[in-house]
Amino acid sequence: MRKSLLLQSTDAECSPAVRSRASVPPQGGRLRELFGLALLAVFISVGGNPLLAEDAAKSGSEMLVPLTLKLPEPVFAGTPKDAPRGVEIEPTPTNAPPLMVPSDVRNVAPGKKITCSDKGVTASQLARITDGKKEATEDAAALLRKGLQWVQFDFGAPHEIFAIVVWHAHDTPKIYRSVIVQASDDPDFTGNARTLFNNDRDNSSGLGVGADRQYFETYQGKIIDAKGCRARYVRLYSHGSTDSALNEYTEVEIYGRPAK
Amino acid sequence: MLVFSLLPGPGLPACRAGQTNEESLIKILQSPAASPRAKGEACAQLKLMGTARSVQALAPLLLDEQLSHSARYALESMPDPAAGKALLRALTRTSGLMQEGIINSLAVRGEPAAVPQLAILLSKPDEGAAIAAAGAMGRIGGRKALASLQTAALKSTNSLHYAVVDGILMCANRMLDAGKPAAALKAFESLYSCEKADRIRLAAFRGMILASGTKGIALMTNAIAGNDRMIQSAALRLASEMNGAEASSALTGLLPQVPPPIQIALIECLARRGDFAALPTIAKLADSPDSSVRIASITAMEVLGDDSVVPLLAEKAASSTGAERKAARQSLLELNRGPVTRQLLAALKTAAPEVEPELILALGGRGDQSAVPTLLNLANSGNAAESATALQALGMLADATQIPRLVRLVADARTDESRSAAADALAAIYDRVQSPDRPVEVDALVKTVETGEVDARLALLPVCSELTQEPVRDALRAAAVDKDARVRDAAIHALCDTRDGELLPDLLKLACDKDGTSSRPLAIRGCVRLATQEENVKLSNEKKLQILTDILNAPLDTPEKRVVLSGLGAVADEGSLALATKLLADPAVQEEAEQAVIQLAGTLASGHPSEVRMALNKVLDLPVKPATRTAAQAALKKIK
Repeated sequence: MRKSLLLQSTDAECSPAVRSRASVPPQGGRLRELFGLALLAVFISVGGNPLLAEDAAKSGSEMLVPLTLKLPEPVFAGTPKDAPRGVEIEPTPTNAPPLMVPSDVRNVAPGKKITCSDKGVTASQLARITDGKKEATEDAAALLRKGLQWVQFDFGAPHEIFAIVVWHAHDTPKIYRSVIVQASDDPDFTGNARTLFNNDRDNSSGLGVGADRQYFETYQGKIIDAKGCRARYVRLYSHGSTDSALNEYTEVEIYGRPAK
Repeated sequence: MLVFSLLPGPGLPACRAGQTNEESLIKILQSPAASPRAKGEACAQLKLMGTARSVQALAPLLLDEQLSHSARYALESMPDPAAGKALLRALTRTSGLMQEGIINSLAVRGEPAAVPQLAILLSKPDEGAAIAAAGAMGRIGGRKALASLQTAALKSTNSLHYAVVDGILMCANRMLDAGKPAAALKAFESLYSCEKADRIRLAAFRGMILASGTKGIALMTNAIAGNDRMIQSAALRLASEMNGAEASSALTGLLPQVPPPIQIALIECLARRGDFAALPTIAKLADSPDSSVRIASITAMEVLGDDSVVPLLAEKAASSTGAERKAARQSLLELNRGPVTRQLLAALKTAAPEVEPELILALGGRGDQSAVPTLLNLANSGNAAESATALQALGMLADATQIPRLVRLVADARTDESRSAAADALAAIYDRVQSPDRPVEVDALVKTVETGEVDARLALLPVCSELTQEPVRDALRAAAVDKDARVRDAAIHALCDTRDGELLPDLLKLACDKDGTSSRPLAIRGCVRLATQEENVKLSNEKKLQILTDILNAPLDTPEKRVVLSGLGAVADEGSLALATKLLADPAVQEEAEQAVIQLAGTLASGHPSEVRMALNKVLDLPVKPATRTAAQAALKKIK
């Protein structure tokens, strides 16, 4: 099952590539726009034609493509109706426009060093987070103890990050609390940590009040637009869910490329 | 349990507890003055204690509409032949339901002498009695009963016919049980060829297989491989009951020849039979193109498998998904034939990278401590990949006694990767074995942290953050002022991550250090976490507030203030409310202060209504977001 990345709001600074998407309007009228879309469709269908990418580069902008995700099988359908009182829930996306990312962006998370705040979790358990197995099964997830916990990725060198997709656990309808995603050049996240997503509405995490909405975990995962943010480290926080005080991480995909 | 209470009628001899005996019960039966209820209860007691003496008293009651049931109930279990004779005499003197009852009692007794009389009833117009007679003859059994029933089957129709056929099947099965297969086979064959109803033919076919001896196996396998679904189903059901190596061999031989649904049924059957010889054939089906067959094969290996299937199951667990993977993992855990652990360890040395985690999972999940020495050797002397894999397995399997060995592995590691993997395994063991009431070995760890090589100390210091023993505390404190900057940094990180409440003063000192180290933000975060979130750390609200106040008194940047505000919101104290209210005036953290006030309002409203009201009004005086305004107003409303 595949789907396009969905556009999300974010506070992070944009890279020139993403800004070009936002700032360069289609020129040549409706016909050219349609032609461009057709070219894009061809580009996607052949898996990234280098000639087309080159053309885009010559024109001063970067070729953007809707990145596709391999989705697990859904376990339940639709948005559950019993959302907790007072919680503003983001609707489960249906036909949102795809998130456009540079054509050379790849999932850079597999094989990277993963650490976490729970010292009882082994490296082999953490490896589940990037093993590509996203099914809603207990053995597909790394399980961190209760309280505010985090998992952290070290790319070894600065990367441009365009999208982060997280599946905490989609076995039952649940809302993860204090989902915060930060990027940083400092492994302790004390220096230039930049917040890409934060739905901690009451600052229980101590990382500040976030403006993003809470959401139900689904097989589609949560897609966070990182807007080409440049960083060596990415950290994802959570503080349990409406289902359990524990913190599950089934899969995290980070779409980016080494920084130039 | 039966509780008897004799209630004699007027004029009866009193029967007190302890005096009850057969004679007195017989007297009750024979007394014209005794009530039917009393006689019924006497019958019930005589069922348990009656002898031939009682038969004479009970026999007349068989003809009594009110007491016939009680009387035959007593007689049917009496071993004395006289009881059977009494029932048989009553058979021709009763009719309707009373007669059917007596027929049933004769059946319970298995009275062969009743067969001629019962055979006569088969052709009588009373269908109820005829059906009861057919059933009784089946239960009594014998050649005469069978012959009579077979004769009746030729003429009978509808319900009676089914009862007669059932009787024949019962007779034939009794013959089979009695070691007379030839006679039984004839009866079954006759039914199979003459009857049209599926259920009868099915039962007859089953009997034919069972009565055919070795020939029955061919009959069964032909049926399984054939196209007659009904017969196939009967044969498959029977396959589980057929004993002997010949049956096993025949069923196994069928496996590759039959379609997937039958393969699945056969695999399950062979697993139920415990046919270990079928394992190689079943294992081959783990690669069947049909996923259900693969799952059935893998599941059967849980029972039939041995060490030889370890590589296959591990590969399946690694490469498959969903139910197939689950089955493979379960079978790896349950395998119990042969040296399974040894095979798992051997496979670790040659397994593909994607298979290794499955082998480790199995070793850990099986909990076989005998694997630990080999894993330790592998971790110590294997190549990098083997060592890493062995360490992962040790993390899941080793117990507290192995901790010094793991510490040694950290100290002796030749590369950063292997050192990190060994420390990781050590942390996992500590996490698994330590509990508040069970002290865990830390001497080796502490010694290496204090006196080991720098690389080993750097790897082990993070492990210390999970431990709460005094020696670990001292080692951390010493390392935090070590002359080597890398050791100091690692120790301070470990302190900031600690779960030990006794280290709060040390952490607070770091957090309030005005000269400011690069780790100060971590120390502040660690302090707030330990004071307000760590469930093992029990502090009074006063103490918690003091810690947070001390931190707030130091110069803080915005992220640090946010951390402290998250802690304030969790300390239900009037002082916390005052501090959070004060921070409302700081534009950088106003939003976080608003949330802390609202959070505290929920916990303090009943005890400190005026202070809470004042704080909430201050929030509402600010240009807050609509959601915050709503929350503050709701909190205020609760006070009012």
